[in-house]
Amino acid sequence: MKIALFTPINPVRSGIADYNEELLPELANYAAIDLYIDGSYSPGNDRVNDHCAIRVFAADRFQPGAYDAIVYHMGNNFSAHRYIYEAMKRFPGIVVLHDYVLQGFYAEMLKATRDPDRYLSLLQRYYPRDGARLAQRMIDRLPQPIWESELAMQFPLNEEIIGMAQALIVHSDFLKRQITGRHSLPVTVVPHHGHRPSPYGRDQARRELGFNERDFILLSTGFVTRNKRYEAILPALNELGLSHLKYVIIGQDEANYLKVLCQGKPLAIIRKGFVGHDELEKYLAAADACLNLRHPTMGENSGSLLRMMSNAQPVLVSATGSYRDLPGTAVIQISCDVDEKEMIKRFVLALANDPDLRQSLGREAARYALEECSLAGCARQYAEFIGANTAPARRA
Amino acid sequence: MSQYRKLIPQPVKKSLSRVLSKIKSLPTDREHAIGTIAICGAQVPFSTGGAENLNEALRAQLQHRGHEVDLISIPFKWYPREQIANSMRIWQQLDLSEADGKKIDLLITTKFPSYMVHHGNKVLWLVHQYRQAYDLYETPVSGFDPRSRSDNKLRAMIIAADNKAIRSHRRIFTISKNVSRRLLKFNGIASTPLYHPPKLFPRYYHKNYGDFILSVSRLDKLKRVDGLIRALPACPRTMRCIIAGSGPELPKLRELASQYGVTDRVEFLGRVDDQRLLELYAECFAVYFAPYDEDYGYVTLEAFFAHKPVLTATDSGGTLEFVEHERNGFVVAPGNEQLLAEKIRLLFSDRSLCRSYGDAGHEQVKNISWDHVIQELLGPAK
Repeated sequence: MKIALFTPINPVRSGIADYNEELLPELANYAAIDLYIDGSYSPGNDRVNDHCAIRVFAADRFQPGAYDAIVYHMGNNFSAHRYIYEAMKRFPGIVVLHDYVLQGFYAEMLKATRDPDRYLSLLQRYYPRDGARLAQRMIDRLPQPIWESELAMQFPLNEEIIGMAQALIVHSDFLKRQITGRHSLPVTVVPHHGHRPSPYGRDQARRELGFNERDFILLSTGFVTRNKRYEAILPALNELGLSHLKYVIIGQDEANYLKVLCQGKPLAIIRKGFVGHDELEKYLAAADACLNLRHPTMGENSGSLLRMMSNAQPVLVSATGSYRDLPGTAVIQISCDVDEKEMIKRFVLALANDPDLRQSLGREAARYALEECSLAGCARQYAEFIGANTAPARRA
Repeated sequence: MSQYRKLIPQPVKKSLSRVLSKIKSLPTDREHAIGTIAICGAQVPFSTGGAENLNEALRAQLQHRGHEVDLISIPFKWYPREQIANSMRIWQQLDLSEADGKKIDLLITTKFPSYMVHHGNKVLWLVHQYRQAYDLYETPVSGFDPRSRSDNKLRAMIIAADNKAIRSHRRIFTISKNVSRRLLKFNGIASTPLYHPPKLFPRYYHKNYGDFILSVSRLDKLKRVDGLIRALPACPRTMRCIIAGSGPELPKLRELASQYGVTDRVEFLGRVDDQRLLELYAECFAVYFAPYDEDYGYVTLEAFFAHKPVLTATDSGGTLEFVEHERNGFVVAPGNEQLLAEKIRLLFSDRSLCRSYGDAGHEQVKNISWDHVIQELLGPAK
């Protein structure tokens, strides 16, 4: 089987790039892969070359007939996925939908193309009743974009992409339920794969990062956005007042959201911004517990969550969307209502005071990542589904 | 990952579940005793409406349950336009953390812009936002000019301030699904409708299904009492119609009754006292209440508490949260007096149908109580 695979890769700062660089070696066991990127960068990871041929996509030179299947990895980052969007319009294929809500992608497109008419007509086509109003909100740049609101799942703006797809791969049963209720095309669930645990030991990582043995290290990773619930987490930790607590937040904060939240408040947090893979692994080894809250949900699955679980970390997640499909003993699910802050406080306190609880939860998390989300298992599921959904003409 | 395999085969699942649910079910801070409560409302001086009555009722109910309660009301003025922003600022700058050295444990905020006040423990029971900036925008009553830059700026500021202030509450309730729907539609904020009983609860009662249909409301255009009068000629001559309430439409309604030749069958009572109102509900065979887009609609609840069916319209808003067509009443298109008359005839000629629908209505509202409202506002036991 020969596959044309469209995905951004490093140095593009994207969870989807990391995801595919980890999956590729396993997927290469089942298929010959040509990996298509756009021409704006050179691959930052030489090892990707070992498992596939990297090509720069040019629509006029692309030959779909040379492949059994074309696979597109689609996400919200417009600059990283723009060429993928253009390609799938001309050459339909199997779409891996990493983000269910694609409002962000189209809003970035609006900003880049300055074409409000196209944006408006798209919204009106898929949401005849509310589309014009929603589009106008974006065009007028009113505060709180739709993807930060509870409305996001009602107006995902993924219809055009799904309409172009021959088949879909999603990462959770939750998303499959959302899609099969609205569209009729083959859909399968391949869970977000787990990761290899950090090669660092806890003591070594702490030493190298400058932490004490007594420190209780809490860790959050990933882009800093409003729906990561920092506005609940920070006051909760502040109220707890644990003297030995060190809360580390790793991830780009383009909107300076943390700075705004912390203004005038005595919050002891360690903001790290974007860090390299090696440093991230040190923090994952050094941490005692992790926070991975997301609300409102965009239907996404979190690569950073699977990384935490693979490292046997106890993790607090929001009780919403795909997170609800996770076993109740592999993660701690935090309600998204008025009790959110209270629940964060009491579970962080319980984890800080009880090493046995941390260890038990960490074991269950690692068990889930290992058994349900192994890289090899996920690659096999990809290969089976792609094989079953190759285009009829190509199959013959 | 093989090193983890060694760690895994231990029977931790059951005890872990137990530990986690035990931690979850501990009482929360807000479930501890709340002593001092302030209810915040904005008021137009010399104008007392549903919101003010609601605040008074809430205060009485909280006091009755042993809480120390006070109403904090600040005048609201929406003209000239800058006054709206001033009113918002006044609430934003208030310090209600304590009063005379006494800590205020909880704020219950109600309508725009009272919910802009800062407090560490506040719950919203939303009566309404500044509707002119939302559902009434671009209608003649909005007062905003969509072509005016400064108007658009002010509107955007109101929406942004609402988004921030409403989200800062520990819990968000509204008085009805209609209000919740607007909040979700325009601000993307989910909320829970929390219904409260009508003013004379629990004194409503049922006596019989008499020979008259009842209309209770202020007599203004939006209440559309004229629809009932227009339907009367097609109703049995032995049937009477009693209209309780006063308002600017009264002279027109009298004239309409005369024009339709039904003066002898329509009785205009004007405002009636509580006792008389309870009797009217107890003795009518049905209640007509078909206003345009009502926020809540106390009359529906009053009718149902008295086991009476309700006739309403398809665009009556909050009323439709309770009235279900051919289950506890009838829902007809506004302006279709022939159909309305047909449904009235049906009920008048079949009192067992009145009973069946009236009982179903009672079933629908029987759990609406102040106990429930206060339990939710102060924090339910989970």
